[in-house]
This record gives sequence, structure tokens and C-alpha cells, in this order.
Amino acid sequence: MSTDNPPESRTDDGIVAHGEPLVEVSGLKKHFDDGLSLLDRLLGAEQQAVKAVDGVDFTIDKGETLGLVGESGCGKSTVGETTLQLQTPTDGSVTFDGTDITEQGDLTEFRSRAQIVFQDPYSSLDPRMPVGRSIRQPLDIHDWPQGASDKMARRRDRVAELMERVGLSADQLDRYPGEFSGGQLQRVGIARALALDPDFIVLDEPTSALDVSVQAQILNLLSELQEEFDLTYLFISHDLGVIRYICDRIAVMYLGEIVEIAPAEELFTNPQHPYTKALLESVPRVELAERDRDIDPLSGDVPSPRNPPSGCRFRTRCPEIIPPEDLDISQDGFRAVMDVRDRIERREVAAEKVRDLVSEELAEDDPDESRLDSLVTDRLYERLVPVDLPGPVEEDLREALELVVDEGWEAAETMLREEYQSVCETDHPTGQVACHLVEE
Amino acid sequence: MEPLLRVEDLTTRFFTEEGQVNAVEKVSFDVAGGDVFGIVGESGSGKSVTALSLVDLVDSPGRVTDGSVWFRQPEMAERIAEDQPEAVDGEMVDLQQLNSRERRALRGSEFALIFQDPMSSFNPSITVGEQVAEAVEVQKRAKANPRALRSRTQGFGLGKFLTTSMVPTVDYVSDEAHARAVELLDTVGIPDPAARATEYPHQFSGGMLQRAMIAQALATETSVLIADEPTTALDVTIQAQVLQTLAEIQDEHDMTTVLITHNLGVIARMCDQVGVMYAGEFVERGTLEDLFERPTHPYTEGLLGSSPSLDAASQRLQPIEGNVPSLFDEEMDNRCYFADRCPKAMHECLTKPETYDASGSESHSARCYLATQEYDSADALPEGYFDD
Repeated sequence: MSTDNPPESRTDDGIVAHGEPLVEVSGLKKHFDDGLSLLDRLLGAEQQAVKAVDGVDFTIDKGETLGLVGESGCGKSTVGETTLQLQTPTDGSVTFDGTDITEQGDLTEFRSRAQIVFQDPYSSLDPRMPVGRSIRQPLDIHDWPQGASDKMARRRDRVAELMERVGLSADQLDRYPGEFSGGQLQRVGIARALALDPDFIVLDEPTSALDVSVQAQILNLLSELQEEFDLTYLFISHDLGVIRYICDRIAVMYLGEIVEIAPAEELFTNPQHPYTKALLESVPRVELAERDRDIDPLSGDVPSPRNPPSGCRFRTRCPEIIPPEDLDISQDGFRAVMDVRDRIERREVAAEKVRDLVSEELAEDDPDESRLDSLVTDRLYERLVPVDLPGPVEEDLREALELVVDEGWEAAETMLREEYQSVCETDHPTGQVACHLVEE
Repeated sequence: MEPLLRVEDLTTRFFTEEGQVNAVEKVSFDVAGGDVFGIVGESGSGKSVTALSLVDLVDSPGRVTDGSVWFRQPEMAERIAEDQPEAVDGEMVDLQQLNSRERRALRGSEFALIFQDPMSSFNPSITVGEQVAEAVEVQKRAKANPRALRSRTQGFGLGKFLTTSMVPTVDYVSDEAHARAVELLDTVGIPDPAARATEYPHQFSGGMLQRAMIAQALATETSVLIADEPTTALDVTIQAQVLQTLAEIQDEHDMTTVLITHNLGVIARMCDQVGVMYAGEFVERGTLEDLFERPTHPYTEGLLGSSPSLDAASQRLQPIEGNVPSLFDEEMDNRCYFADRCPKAMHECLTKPETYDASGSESHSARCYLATQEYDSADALPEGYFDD
């Protein structure tokens, strides 16, 4: 995906209201190694890194809130942490206010300008440190205010001011985290992030651990603070309602990649990527009409990030996967074909078990070997293909399953791949909407 | 229509070393057969304890101290009417007052529970199929002989000892139970159930394991399913799958469900009737329409107002100020527990309100004075009244 500019920056009359980028991320990758020992490697174990983030590009303009949304394990938190250099990226660059910080050795200045608020306020504050000291820590570390003679007094005042600003009372600063509720602790976390008057804050699921009534308080507080201090946010969340409420632009992540990035209104009213559509559709709405709303849930689970699918990563679950041009088949039908292919490629067809079942049933009659095989194939076909397929396609699938019954996995795999290869598996889609269905 | 389940003044307390906690306080509701009753509330409001109290599974130091759980069971009612008249009311029997043997039999065959976290609800060292089959077998034996507890085939010897210690269910579960387990796994939408049945819980994804738990719950012809946050640990796309499975099964088996969740969207999707819990009490109860169109209790209004919407552009959220109160008996005043966070708190609210009928609808009630009178700002408590 190339760097993207929101439409505001392209105004003809030269007035740039928004659009001065603060954070530019390009080609960001973070792979986690298996932690294999030397012995493992000598014995020939293969390193299979978890590709948590695998090539992500985005920019965040000054004063903007970019939302990063996706399901658990899609890499959204890792994007937040690598952007802030809390984790060293495997590849790619992060430019902050014109400086490439992945190249820079001394991050002190960057660290004072970019902050983070974590998901769980209980574990992100030291339980044995009074909250006032937690808030003061960034000031101590960065020796704020530099050169002043009455540092301690200034810092104390600053902490009191911050406490008041986030809606706590300044006389609570000697209390310990155990004496606060989750919502109050999250306010402490926000005050700590604000201490050095930063420009950029990564908010990593800041309200997921909170109840909905308290969540609303925190969201409103974050909006107010953004306006007051001219903050730029990267807001990470799995909750689409929250994302819509607080974000200007939204990036949707799936399995380590951004599949769609668009202004909030546009993403919600006119989603383009099939995954975005499915995600929006699956959220139950808080309204009376919800009971009668038809949902066609996505099938299957997210594949492993160790060995992600080739081409488009969503293709194993995509309800709109593209059939080869010369093939006349319904969308459901092609989905079924691809599901069978997937299972054969993953060696997940339980031919043995079905054979046992069938032969048990046949035991009383005559256990004729050749008949057994065709019965097993029929049974497998019945189980794996829930839809009606055109004649030739059905024949191909049966032939492939027959091969599988004979342990000819690779032959079956090759045969089906030649006939039913989709553009979605050969070509990796790029662009604002990473999908072959969408013309750039 | 006569309800299938009628809960009256159910009260559960925890007697901890720090003091008495009033986790559930006089909760009452009816559920008609085949309906879904939703209980919604924030963390610590007592939803889960209410679920456990229904089937008396509250662990020590907690105890159901008061109230009854009436369940329609004509045969049993007739059979025990003479011995235990206090536990019978027409066709209904009271689970709280039945003697323990009857209660156990009823609870085992008519009630099923599913929990929030499927990963911790399964034994990691036994295959999923085996565990579902075990549930089937338990039900089968309970049906055949309601008094029998979990009895094992007798047998001695080293080999026997080793096999039973490795696979505890090996002697217990019959082949028919295994076959039935595979069928059940198929019913709940697990692809290739025969193969998946031989896998261990860690080989399942969260959504699949939650389905397996639903399969376990279906092991018998259960009449009441109690689902405690069944989709909270799942991603939204998986949640949609599991909710759909639940709805289909609910339809097919005509099951009565008590669904506990903090997610108003799930409530909107699944439920006929809803109870809103706050600080251990039902603050409002009614049909989905009652609550969404005519919320009476300010807490219900607050919950609705603080949920960010997916379809409308952002208007400012209306949060509920303050935090959930303590449920320690000694710290609870005899007032409306929501008054300190309520934007419409009045002087009356300092005495505890009863549950009143609201908005003319028969099914709709609220534990709030606003159900009986209009809000009068002249009567409002001064700001900062509860600050000390």
C-alpha cells in the first residue's frame, strides 16, 4: 500500500486545513521468532516466525485521530508498539515530524513527544507507587523543567494540575492504585501520558477493560483533551462503535495487514473490502430492529500468522472470492470449491476416519475393497460440499477426493490448483482498499 | 400463558471475612416457555451470581438466603404434593425447597449452563468428543435411574487402574454416547465432527470450543439453558456465528433461555424480555420494546445513552457519572443505590423505592419513583449531596 493522503490535503486553492503529516509509517514489519535453540536448528527444525505485522503503511496528520481496528491477534497492538519503537521493527520506517526515528540512535526527544496509554490500567501502573509519583515519573526521567531551580515544586504543581485536568482530585495523589476503580486508574494513565505535553499518543484499547458507562466518560475526556492540547491520536480498538465515535480516519487490519483505510464516515456508510463489510455486519446493534436484521456470518476462523495464506490473506474466508474467468459457477459454489482445496492443502480431510466408519457399516454385508473406496469418496463429498455444483466441477472434486482416499494428496492438490486457481491466491492486492474487486 | 420459570425474591449473600456482600437482592422475574430472558448489567452488578443462584451453584462463602425458583413440572408436582406441600404450587415446584435428591435430578436433566470462557471450562487432557459424550452418558443414566449419581463400572487390576487414571471416562462412556456426541457436534455447526471429536481442547479455536460447550448443554432434552456471557471472549465475526447457532438451536428445541451479558447489542439480537441489573437488584424489567422505547429508570437510559452507535454519526455520548457502588452490607444505605449517580435524584430517593409498574405495560416495571411520578426539578437533591 502506498502512502495515503486524505482528500483534505489536495485542495486546489492551496489552503491546507489538515494534512500536515505527523507520523508516517511505511512498510512496517514485525516478526517474532520461534525461539528455537541451537540444538533445534542443528536437528533441522525450521524457523517459522509469527508475522504479527507484515508490511503496514499509514500516515497520521497533525490533530487527527486514526483508528486501527481488527480482531484479536491481527497485529494492531504490535503496530502501536513498533510505531513508538517500544518494539524494534523487523523492517520498515517510521517518520515522526520529518525525522526517521528508526534510524535515529537517541530517542529521548521522541519519547517525550510520543506517549502511550495501555489497555489494562491495573497492570500498567505500579501497585506500590502512589499515583502521584507514577504521573511524576516522566517528568523526573526527562528532567522537566530543564534549568529551573525549583524543580520539585514545579513538578508537584504540574502533577496536581494534571490530576485535576483528567477529572481526579489533586488530594488523591498520595493514594495507591488499589484504592481506585478501573475508570479512575485509566484517568491516571492518561494524566501520566499527558505529563510531558506530548504531540502524539497511542491509545491501545484504552476503554476495553471498562464498563460501558465509564467507557463513555473516558471517551469524552479523550476528545476534550485532544481539542485542548492539539493532540494526535492513534486509537487502537476492536470495538467498532467506539472507533466510529472517536476517529477521523480508520484503518482495518486483518492478519498483520491493513485491508482498508478510509475516512470514518465513508468506511461506515460505504465499506469496500469484503472483510470490512463482514466486520460491520457482525456487530449486533443496540436497537429494536436488531432481531430481524439478517446476518450472514463469516465462515471459519482466522488462519495462523505463522503461515498466512498466499495472495490476499482474507481469501480463505472471503464470501466474494473471485473465480477464474472461464469458469461459470455461483459465488457459494466457488467458495465451497476453495474450502475443499484449502482442506486438501492443509491435509485436513479425515479420509481414514470416514473409511473406518464406512467399513464398520459394511462389515456385515460384503467388504468389497473397490466399492469401499467409492463409498468413502461419496461420504466425504457429502460432508465437504454443502451446495449444488455444476456437473464438471462436481466431477473434478470427486476425482480429487478419490485421490485423497488413495493418499494421493499432492496429486489432488495440483489437479485442483490447475483448474481452480483464483487471482486472490496468486496476486497480493494493494491499495487503499486491498482487494482485487476494487478498482483503484 | 403460564410461565415455565418464575423467580421470586431471589436473594444471595456472600459472607466473607471483610463482611457481608449483598450480591443479589430480591430478584424476581418470569420466563415463558420458549422465550429468551436477558439479564444485562455492568461488571459486579450480580448478573452471574443470579445465574448461578437459579440452579443453586453458588460457592461458599456465598449462599442463596431467600426466595424461590418455581419451575413448571406437573408430574413431579403431583408426585411430591403430599410429602413436600411447601415446595409445590399448582404445576410448579420450587427448586429452593425441594429435597436435595429431587432437586439434583431436576437440575441435572432440565437445566444446562454455558459459561463465558470455553478454554477454562473443558478439561485440557481429555478429547472434546469424550467430554461431550460424557455429558450425554450422565444424562442417559440420570434418565434411566434418577437417583443414581455418577457411578462407574467396577473393576480392579493394574491395567484398569492405568487406563482409568489416564482417561477417566473410558469405562463410563458407551459407544452410543460417542455417536450421539458426534451428532451433537454436528448440530452446533462444527465441520467434520467425527474428526474434531478426537481432538483436544487446545486444538479448537475459541468459537469452536464455545460450540462444543453448547453441544454439551444439548446432551439432554434440556428445558432451560442458562448462558453466562456466552460470546464475550469471542471476536465479533465469531460472536455472530455463535449467536446464530444459539438462535437456531433455541428455535429447534423450543428451549427457554436465560442469557446473561453486558452487551446491549447481544440483548437486542436475542432477547424477548430483559432485566437490567444494578448493584444486585433488577432496576428495570420489561420487553425489549419497553426498555428501548420507553426506558423509565435513569440507569437504563444511561446505559443506552453511553453505548456508541455504529450507524449514526457521532453525537456526544451521555456517560453515567461516578462509579459502581460497593455491595458490602454495612456500606449500603437504605436508599436507591443509583441515587448518587442519578441525574434525576430527588429527596424521595433517600428512602428505598419498591418495584412499580411502569408505562402502563403489564410486563414493564421499574424500581424507581419515576415510574409513578414525573420528575420535578424543585424536588431535586442539591448537587454534591453524596460527595462525603
